[in-house]
Amino acid sequence: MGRLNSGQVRKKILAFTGLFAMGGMLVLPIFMALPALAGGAPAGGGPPADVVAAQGAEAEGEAEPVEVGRDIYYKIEGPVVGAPAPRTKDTAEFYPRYNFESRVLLWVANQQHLYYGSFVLAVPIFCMCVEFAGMVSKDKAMAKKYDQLAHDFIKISLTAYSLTAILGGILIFTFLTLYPAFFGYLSSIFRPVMHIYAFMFVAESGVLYIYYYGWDKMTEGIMKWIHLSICVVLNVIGTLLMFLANSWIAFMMSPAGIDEQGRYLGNIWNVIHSALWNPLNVHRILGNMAFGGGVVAAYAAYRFLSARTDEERAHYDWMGYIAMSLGVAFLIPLPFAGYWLMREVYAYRQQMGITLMGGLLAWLFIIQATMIGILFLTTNYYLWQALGRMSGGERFQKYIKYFVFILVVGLLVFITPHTIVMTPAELKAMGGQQHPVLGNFGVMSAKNGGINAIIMTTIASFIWYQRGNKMPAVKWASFGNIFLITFFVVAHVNNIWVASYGYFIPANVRIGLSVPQVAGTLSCLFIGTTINLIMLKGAKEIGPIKYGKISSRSQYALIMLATAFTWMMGLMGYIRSSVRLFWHVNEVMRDNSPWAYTHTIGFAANVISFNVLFFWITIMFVFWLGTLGMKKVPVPATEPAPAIPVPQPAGGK
Amino acid sequence: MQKIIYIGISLVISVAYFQFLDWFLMDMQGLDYFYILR
Repeated sequence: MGRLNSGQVRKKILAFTGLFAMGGMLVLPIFMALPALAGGAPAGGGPPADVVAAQGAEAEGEAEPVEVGRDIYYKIEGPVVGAPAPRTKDTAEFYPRYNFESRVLLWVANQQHLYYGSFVLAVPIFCMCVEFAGMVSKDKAMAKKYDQLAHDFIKISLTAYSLTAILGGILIFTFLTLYPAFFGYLSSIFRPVMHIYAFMFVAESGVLYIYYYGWDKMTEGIMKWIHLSICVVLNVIGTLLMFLANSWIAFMMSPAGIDEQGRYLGNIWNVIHSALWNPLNVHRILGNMAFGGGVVAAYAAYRFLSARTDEERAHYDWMGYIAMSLGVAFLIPLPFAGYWLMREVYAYRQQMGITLMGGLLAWLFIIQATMIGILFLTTNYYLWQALGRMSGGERFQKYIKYFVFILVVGLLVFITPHTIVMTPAELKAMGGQQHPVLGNFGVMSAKNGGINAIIMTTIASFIWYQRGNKMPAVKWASFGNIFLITFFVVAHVNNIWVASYGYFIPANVRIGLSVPQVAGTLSCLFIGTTINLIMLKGAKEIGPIKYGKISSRSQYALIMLATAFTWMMGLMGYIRSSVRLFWHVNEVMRDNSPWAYTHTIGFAANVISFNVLFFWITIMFVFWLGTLGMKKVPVPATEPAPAIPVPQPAGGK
Repeated sequence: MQKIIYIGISLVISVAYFQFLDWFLMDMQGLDYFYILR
């Protein structure tokens, strides 16, 4: 490494100073909030300082006893420092009218903000991974490709970020205008952390712009590492922002830190750290990542389909593959995070769990199961199509039909409802509420088996893809291949065994079987992938990966993946929110508006579809804007891309 | 013959692993994996 000249040293010092200043600014709100978090400062949720001072002057000399309240969740006592939750009435004072259902307006505003919020939180995480991959890559050409890909990612995110902020503003106005009493109460509870949220938001914007505009200035050596560190800081802020926002919805579902009248008890950590906060955090971060991957993959597919040159097609095919892989990597553990969330919901309020999965909202879960099935089927389909762009990928084609069989059977079991709506005549013809054969599959034992079979098959498809154009060269390759196949077969058999075993034991023991089932699937993911990667070290390459030489169908699969994910996100958001039924804050603040009822499935599905359509129309606009400022020409693929036959559907031309 | 030995070894390892996993994770939750045999 050569010596640095004075200019470089100055730049280096400047960069470090900037980084430390930025870090200091980030930590500042936490220090400022420490007294309030510790409960020592004038606690939030109470009256403003001037009111407190006036009250103090009035009561000079008289030391009034502090009223103590009991936390409805933590069951500990604390000083009452907040006002009770408002008791609303169905009047324009509490629920102003705008000749339209206020809840639907709020629903749309919330969902749009959430879609964009998820997208702009997920994309910088991808960006960080891809930029890091580029920095550690020994192949110069590949390093440049990764760097450009990360740049492409963040460019899309930047325009979407402005839209997210605008939608956030619209959301706050919607809340203030349509639900003033409720929003006032929620703001009073979370007042101690509101300024942290605001600071974080400003910091996120600042760091994002520094990261993006500093790209071409920080390209080599230590500066590049600082650039990557800025992305790490950006993601930490983004994640904290999401966790804070999650604490509001978790509080609405499972309130804590307040007494039975809804009065704040002076400890903001108890309010934030409610029963469902952590499960929601995990579920949302995984969901956001999978969603972000899907949207970026759809962007790449759109650019692939509209590309005019082979180089462009190769670049966007590769981009779509990377985005899809990152998205699916987070999609695989998502159902398990969902199970954990549901388990915590049941533990918090059994009735809430029953409303979700066994009562009023149960049919929406059948739709959700169908969507999950579509996501996994589409992912597998894409991977099988992608095998077509590698020499050697054709080895696996003959086995696809067996995978299709497992996926379809798993999906059919997974979507079987427990009971169905029937006419009396149909009920009589079937001999009861449940079908004599298929009715047996409409229980959790079978459904767990179904989804785990689907996920394990998807993992196997990934392993195929990793091997596509490679032949293991390790000495123990023969044993390794047999072991991998046996491990997956036994995993499937064990999955079926555990699912069947559940039918013969009581419910309180059966519920625990989902844990080993999940662990079995995760074993396939971690053990299977690790063994495969070890086997592929120094593997013999059968032929190059010919990016760009893939069927158009695969790109439509990517678009379908993203659309299905958007729809499912809308659906699950609606389910999570409507489980509160007629409560703004569960069991504390009642919703007395005329819209405090549960919509029909058809109406809900229409609003979700509208949200999906609206999001995709606006994100297409964002994509289009992204193409306007396109300066960089994609780096040509390092490998030649001769025409190869693309797999065709059976009997197709 | 070698293939059969490999399959045998793989089967023993895989079955033992999954059975241990099932038992261990049920036991961790305070539940009896062999409930049906009691």
